[in-house]
This record gives sequence, structure tokens and C-alpha cells, in this order.
Amino acid sequence: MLKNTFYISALGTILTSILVLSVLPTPKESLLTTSVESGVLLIENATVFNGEVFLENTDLEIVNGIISNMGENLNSIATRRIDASGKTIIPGLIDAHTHTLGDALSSALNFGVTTQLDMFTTPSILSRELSMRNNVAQAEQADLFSAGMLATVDGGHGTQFGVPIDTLSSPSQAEHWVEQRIQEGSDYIKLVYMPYSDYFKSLDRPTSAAIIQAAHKNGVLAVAHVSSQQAAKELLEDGIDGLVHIFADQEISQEVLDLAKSNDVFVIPTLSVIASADQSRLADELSKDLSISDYLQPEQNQQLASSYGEHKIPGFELSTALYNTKLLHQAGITILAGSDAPNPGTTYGASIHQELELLTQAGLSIVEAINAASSSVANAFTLNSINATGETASPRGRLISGAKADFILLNSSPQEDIKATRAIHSIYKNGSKVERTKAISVTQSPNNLRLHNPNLSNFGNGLEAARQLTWSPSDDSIANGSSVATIEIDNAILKITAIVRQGFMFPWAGASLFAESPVDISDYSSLSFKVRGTIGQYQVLTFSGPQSGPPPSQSFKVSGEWQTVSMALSRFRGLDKTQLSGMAIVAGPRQGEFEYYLDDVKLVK
Amino acid sequence: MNALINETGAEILKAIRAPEFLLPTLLMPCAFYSLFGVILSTGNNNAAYLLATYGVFAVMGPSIFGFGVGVGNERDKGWLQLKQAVPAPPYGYIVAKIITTLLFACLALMPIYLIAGFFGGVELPREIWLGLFGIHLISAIPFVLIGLSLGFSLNSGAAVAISNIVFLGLAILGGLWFPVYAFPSLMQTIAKFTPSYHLAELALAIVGTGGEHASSFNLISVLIMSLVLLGLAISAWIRQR
Amino acid sequence: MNTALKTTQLSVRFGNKFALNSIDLSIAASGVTALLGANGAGKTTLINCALGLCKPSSGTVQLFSKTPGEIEAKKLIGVMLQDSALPDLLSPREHIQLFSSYYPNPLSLKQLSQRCGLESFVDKRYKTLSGGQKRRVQFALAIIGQPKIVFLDEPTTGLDIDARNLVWNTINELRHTGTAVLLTTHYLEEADSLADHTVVMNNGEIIANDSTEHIRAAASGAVIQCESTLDLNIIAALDDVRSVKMRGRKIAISSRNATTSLAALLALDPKLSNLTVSKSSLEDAFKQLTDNSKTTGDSA
Repeated sequence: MLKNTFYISALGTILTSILVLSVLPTPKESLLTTSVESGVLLIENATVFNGEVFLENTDLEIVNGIISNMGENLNSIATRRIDASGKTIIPGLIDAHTHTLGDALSSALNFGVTTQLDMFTTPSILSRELSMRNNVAQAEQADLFSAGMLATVDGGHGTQFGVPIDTLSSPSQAEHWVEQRIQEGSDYIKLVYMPYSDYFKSLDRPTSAAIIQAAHKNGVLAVAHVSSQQAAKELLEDGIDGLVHIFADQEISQEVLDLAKSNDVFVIPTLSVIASADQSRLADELSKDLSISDYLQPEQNQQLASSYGEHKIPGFELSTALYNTKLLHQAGITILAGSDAPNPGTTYGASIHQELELLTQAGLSIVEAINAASSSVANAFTLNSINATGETASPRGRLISGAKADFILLNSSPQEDIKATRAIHSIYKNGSKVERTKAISVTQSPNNLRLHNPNLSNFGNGLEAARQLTWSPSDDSIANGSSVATIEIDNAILKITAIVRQGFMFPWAGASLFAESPVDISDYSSLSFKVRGTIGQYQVLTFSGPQSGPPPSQSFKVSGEWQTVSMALSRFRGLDKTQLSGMAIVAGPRQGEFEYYLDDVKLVK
Repeated sequence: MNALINETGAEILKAIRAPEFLLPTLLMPCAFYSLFGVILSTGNNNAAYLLATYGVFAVMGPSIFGFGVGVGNERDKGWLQLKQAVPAPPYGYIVAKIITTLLFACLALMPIYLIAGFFGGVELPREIWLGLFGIHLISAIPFVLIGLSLGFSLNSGAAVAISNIVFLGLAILGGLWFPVYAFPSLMQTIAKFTPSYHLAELALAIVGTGGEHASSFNLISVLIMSLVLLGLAISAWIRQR
Repeated sequence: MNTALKTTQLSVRFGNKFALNSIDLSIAASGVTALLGANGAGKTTLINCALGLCKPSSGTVQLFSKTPGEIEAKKLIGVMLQDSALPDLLSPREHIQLFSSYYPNPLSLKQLSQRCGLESFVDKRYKTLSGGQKRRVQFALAIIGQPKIVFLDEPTTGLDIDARNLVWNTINELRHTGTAVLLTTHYLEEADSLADHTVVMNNGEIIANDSTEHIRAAASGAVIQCESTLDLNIIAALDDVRSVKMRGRKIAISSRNATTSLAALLALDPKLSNLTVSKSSLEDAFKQLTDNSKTTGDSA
């Protein structure tokens, strides 16, 4: 029957088509979301220091690097739960006075210091670490706030380190100088005022005052390095917001106490470095403390071991410093904890724990000491305002709902003994557990450097993604092909122009990232980056170990709009994650001219 | 309507009973795809890329042969003339053939999709599979028109031969078997004048292994070519009356 | 409507040639009409105009008072074209199913099968059928809609005796059921035995349009050729002599009855010589009719 034929055929075909289209495979969900790992974390049953008291039986719920909820017996959807019974949680520590060199920030984090305030560093380090500070998903290093370049004269304190400084000598230069610093990204202004020093030249008072004014005019704090009471007094009169050392040349006078009180300033005593200048050799005690020494990196051991020569430096009496600090504290002036690392006898992270001990010796209660290294710093320096990208930052230095999830789990409570801050169980930065690096012993020699920093791009600062990882153009001309690629940084984004031509069998052109020596990326499970540009199909190629044959690759599509591409590392068949030597993000093999932009290239755990 | 259903049933029967139609239509595309898209696949994304292009190829078969050879044959034998003399619904024949073509296009596409999905490792979001299917079906339009033009103009012997040439020509030149970027540049230029090329590009855009041009360019090209082909088909029809 | 087909000054031109030249024709919707003529006479063109397959260059043609080609007109007719092949891959049953969907009141497969003798091959594919079987299927399709008039174009050409008889029987049946038939043929006997009415065409014109009896009469008899000194008019006046002509030196006499005419001639002219007697051929008949129409101006 013709009719039957029609109905059967039509129905049969339609049903078959529907059936087939329904069973065809679709991509697994997990590849599409990169933040499955973060999820919700619940830390249960801890004793939590909220800035005032130690709360018992308290849960902390963390989502996306923020403390979403804090309280007893929280109702949470968290699948990851950690039982913290018997542990005490304090906020991640803030070291209010450091200088950033080398692995400063990762070493600091290794000891639970999640934020560091720097009082003198170069503008390039400043801008590089700023982007890490704004990365609210990283757990590799402490967040850096900095004064950038300090204000001093030629021949003044600060110039002796061989770091080029933009010095100034007259008040008229102050305004321009301050504006420069702010442009470079300084969070506050630090000046060196030592007119009564025998060793260094100094800014004169008018210039110093001009700098303070200029800082205030530009909406930032002005803090100062002082080493004498007289200098301190003058600075207080001229409106300084804080002193980054306590003077130890004399016992503090009532006048200065009143001035400090009425100006509502803060003082960072840096007792640790004074103890070193005093030859008290307190650093030795740190080195012997296993909870500290087990995590000291080689250069840190050196820093703790070094000293200011053999003799006490006059004007740096530890007992005077302690006394002055005590009186300031009793007068109600804000005292903040700062180590002045990495000056001789001090080091990042470890020394702040000793500073806390010294502060209690200066009369601060344990609660006050912990605050001096957390919430008080945040308040004094208004660290919780607007961050560099213009967004309202989550409060730091406090354990409270809505705050940054930077905290330390301690094995025992510091309520009894401030030294308990050294017995660290685990450290959390941005809600992720920090992998503490143990001290390297002679026997252990890691094969390849484990890549701790998952960011593979830092285009705001150039083609160097991290130490020894640099971006460069890459095309098949090395294989006698005819394709050409050029790259440049355009507004903190990598712009790639790639012309893919016939020639080599599998033509390519684009950008590649190569490591000077192979890195171990076994910790990570996927690669993610943002891309937009000429519509087309592009490839990611990976190179590891001895390369033979075509590199493991995956392709992705690009459109005119920004998209985030995420690729599972497991799908690069043949990739040896323990020895990645490089990767490339290229156009090809389709011929054509492509222009595309890359940003935020990173590995994800 | 009753007549149309019967007409379509008749067309389906005629198609099913003709092995010289079934083979190139149903077997060839999925056989070739299995070979080039899955077994001999060289790159990571070849299966997906060739899925897009072979889908267009699969639709070309029933369109060009069903209309080119079918119509040519029946016109030649006077069958069309007889139908014009009796009260058959005016466009029933054409509509019936179009429906038949679409049904066979589905049947030709399904094996390819299955092979791609389960053996070629192609995983696409559900709506992308559906979009691809839609584009593949729409691909029939220009090829049906080509078939009609051939069928109305040629006698049955010539219709078979020319249909084969056109079929293979459009498939190869349009880059349905080998990706166009592997061609020398002259052939790449020629490709842009084939509807098969543009339809393949549209399919590729949907699959996400992106084409060389914005999809609007391909769409407009297909549209223009279809209009031209429509004109050709109509004039061929008028001439044969 | 009693008139199935009516043409008024219908002309069809292909280039310079007139396939049909100002035809006035009226075919009744009853009985069997034969359209007789040699190849190229215009029979097929006329049929095509009636079917709407060919457009008139001038003049009008009406099928049951409708324009040929209109669906409503088509539903009233059945068609069997001379060179129409049906699709090879379908069976007669399927062809019938398809066609029955075109008509409002189709005959059933059973009825058709009986009438046209399709039982033995109704499910075989068309291409496996013999020529005769194919014709039967085509015929079935022509009558499936129970039309008022059936157009048959050379229906028995190339058929064996059995098939031809079958077709003739069916045509007779059609006449009994009141279906008009218009068939074209170049077989005189066919027109003779089947048709009530015959229209003779030549060169795009109608040269005779009369009851078959009359046409038969005009075309039967013999042609006597001889040499004689007899006066042509005397010969023409004889009984049974239809026409007399000079063909060169011979006299050509068309006679209804060869025997009586011969006897009369010999009686009139014993010296008759070079005598040949031959049966009238279709050509003769046509010639006759053509001459008749020319000399008498009568093309009735």
C-alpha cells in the first residue's frame, strides 16, 4: 500500500532520527566548569579567634576564597569537611614592616603570614606582586602592600643598598614625587627622616612636611622611618600617620606620648630588628625552634644567622624599645607588629612570630598581640577599602563572615602561650590550603621544580610569566614552513598576529611559553585561558620530555567575544606532566591570517 | 492531501527499489566517513571536522540523484506528460520527491552521526547536534535545485552521467572529502563558488571547529546560489513543457 | 453537457508549419469516435490540445465547457498516451493505488483487474511485464476515474491479437456504460469495427467528419484502371461508380462494386485495354475524400 509505505517510512525515519539525536554523546559536565575544585569547604569545631575572644566549637564555611559563614553548628552544603576539633584558628598574620626581595612572599606564607606590608621595594616588584594580590584564587604567596620607593635624599638611608632611588631634596619636588609613587602603585608613602643621625644624610624638615602633605593630598598615608625621639616629635607635629620603627635612643617623653595620642598615629616597633641591632641574638632561638626551623628555606637560615657586626649599635637598646612600646601601648596608641625582614637577624614569616612574643613582653596582652599582627594593621592602613582594580576588597585580618579566607590552624591555643602561634597545623590562603614547603635537606633533591605559581601569564608586566617562564612568538618557520607569528603586549593583554601559510605539513603560527628548565605540573588538572580574536579553530600544543612526533594537542574555537577556554590536561595524550618544557597556543593548520588576544593563562588544580 | 501521501509513498517505493540509488546515498557517505574520519584520522579533531563536511556530502546524494536522475528518467519516458494530463495535484510530484529526499537524507546522516559519536570520539552539546542536523537538512535545497535543472534538461542516459559528475565534482571541490586548506590556492578559490563549500563551512561553524570566514558570508553565498539555481530550474522546466 | 470536446477555429503553429489549421470540431459525449489519419496528420496535436498539454496558437478548445488543463476538466477524462511508459519499479497495483487518489470516484482494484485482465500480474513490477500487459495497465489507468470520455492514442498499435481483442471489448463495454471514447488510429478496420463516428484528418485539417458507415462506404470498393476512349462523364454516371479520374493515359475509376462496374464498362467499350483491378487502400480512400472535398467543396 502506498499510504502505508509513506507512513511507515516517515514515522520510522523521524523516530530513528530522534532516537539517534538523543543518544549521541555530549561533553562531560566536569570539563566545562573550572571551579569544581573550590566548591564549599567547611571547617568544623574549631576554637576561632574573632579579634576579641576565642570562640569555642565554631564552624567556618568558606566559598570562593571568602568566609561565607561563621558560627556554631552551621548548616552547610559543603562536601569537603575538615574536623578541626582541638585546633585554634587565628587570622592569617600581617607583617607590618618588611622589605620584599626574592621569595619573600612565598616564604612569608610558609609561616602563616598571609599579608605583608613592604616599606621599600622597586616599582617592578611592586607591580608584579600587585596582580598576585588581586588574584583571589591563589594560595602561593602572601599579598603585598607596599610603599614602593622610599623618600630620602642622596646619601640618605636607603641609598646604601645599591637600588636606584628617585631622591628628592626640596619641598617643591614633593608633590610630583608623591604622584610618581602613586602612579607606580604605591599603597602609602614612606619617608626617611633622620636629621639627627651621624651616619646618614636626611631629608630636611620642610621637605619631609611637604611629602606628608602631598601624600595626604593624594589620599594616602605617610609613614616614616625614625631612629630618634626628636625626629619622631617633629614628624608627629607635621602630621605623620605612623612610625615604622620605635626610637630607642631615649625613653619616650610625655610630650611625645600626648602628641602621638592626639594625632591618633600608629607605631610599628620592629622589636625583632632592634633585638638584632642590640646583639640580643634572639634569632638563634627561632632557628632552634623546630616548628620554625623545619620550614626555613636555606637563605632564611642565613638571614637569621646574620647580624649587624659584632657590637651593639648605639641608639638601639632593646630594653628602651620595649619600655617605649609599653608606654605607647598604655597610652592607648595603636601598636602594630612588624619584623623589618630581611634585615640581619630577621626573616620573612618566622620573625613575626617572635615579634608577637616581644610585643607581649612590651605589655600587650595575647589578644592585643595577635590583633597587632592582623586586624589592627588592616584598620591602621585601611587595607580593606578599594583594591587596585577598583572593587571593594573583602576585609582581611579578621575572622568574620564576608572576610578573606586567610587563616591559620594552630595545634594548640595561643591563649596560654603566645608561642603557640608557631605550632602551625595548616595555613589557608584565599580558602585553599597552602602547601607548606619543608626545609630542604641535603638528601632531598627534587627532580624538577614543582610549579607553585599556576599563573602562566602576567601580561600586565611583560612576557615573563614567572621566573624562567617566558612567552615568545612561535611558528613553523623552524620546520621550514612559511608561516609567521608576531606577539606584543597591548594593554596588559597578549596580542598575537599569526599568518598561517602552506609549507610545512601541519602549519602553525602563534605564541609559545617555554621554561628554561622543565617544570613539574603534576599538581594541576587543567589549563585555562581567556581568548578572543579572528574566528577560527586554534590549537594548544604541549611539549614535555623527549619530544617525538606531533606534540599532544587540543583544539579550541575563537570568536570575536572573550571566552574562557578550559582544557583537561589528561586529554593531551602523551603529555608528561612531571617534565613540561613548554606549550604553545597557535593558529593553524587552516591557512589564513589570524589576530587574537590571550589573557589570564593559568593552570588549575 | 490523500494524493500527496500516495504520491510520496510511490516515490519512496521507487527509491527503495533502486539499488543504484540506495548505494551512493546511504552506504557511500558513511563508509567513506568511517575510513577518513575515524580510522585514518590524523589529528585530534578530524572526526568532528569531517562529520560536518560529510554530513553535507550525505545530503547531496539523494538530492542530486533523486531529482537529477529520477526526474530525467521519468520525463524521458513520458511519465511526466501522462501525469500532466490526469488530475494529479500540480506540485504533488515535486513535493513528494522533496519529502522522499529529506527522509533519505536523514537515513544517510544517522549512521555518520553515530559513527562520529561512538567511534570518532565526537562529543557535542545536545543543541549543537540538533543545529548540525538542521544545517545538514537545509543543505538539500541547492542540490535539489541542481537536480531539477539536470532532470528537466537532459535525457535519462545523460542525466545519470552528468549527475554523477556534478555529485563527485561538488563533493571534492567543495572540500567535503579533504579539507580545503590542503588545496592549492587556485582550487581554494574554485571551492568558494560551490554551494557544498559554503554549506560545509556553516556546518563547521556550528560544530565549533570554526571556518575561515564569518558565517554570514557563507549564508549569503548559499542564498545567492540557491536563487540562481532556482531560476535555472524554473527555466529548465518551462523549456521542457 | 452533451459535447465533450469543442474546438473553434483551433490552430496550432510550430514555427512556419501549421500542425492544426483552423479546426472546427464537436465531439459528443457518447459513443465511440475515431480520429483517423496518417502520421503527421495532426491527430496527436489535437488530442494534446484537448488534454491541455499543448497551447493553441489561436482559436479555442473546450473540454466539457471547461479549459483543458484545469483540474476539474481533468477529473472528467481518462487518458492513455501512445508513448507513455509508467515507472518501472512499481507494480500495477501500486500504479492503480496512486491514480485512484487523483479521482473522486475511482474504480476498485478488483473491478479494474477483471475488466482489464490484470489478475495474473497485478503485483509484478512494471518493467517485467510484456508489451501487452503494460498496455492493459495503462488502459486500466485511463478508465480508473470512471471518466465521461476516455482519450486513447493509438491504443492497439503493437499489440498481439488477444490484447487487441481485449481492448476492443473494453471499448465496447465503455460504450455500453455510457462513456464516450475518442481514439486515434491509423487502422481502418479498427475505426470500422469500433467507432460510431469517424473524423478523418490530413495535413492539420479535417477532411471528413461523419458516421462511420458513410465513411466506410466512401472508402470501400475497388479501383479500376484501364485505357479507354469512353467519355469520362458517361463512366461517372454509371451505378456504383464513385469517381473517375485521368491518371496519365489511364482512367482511374473508383467503384463500390467492382463486378458490376466492370461488366458495365466492358459492355460500353469492348476495346478496353490495360485493365487492372485493385482493392481501395486507405490512401485511395483519403485521396478520394480529399478529391471529393476539393471538387465538391463539401467537407461535411
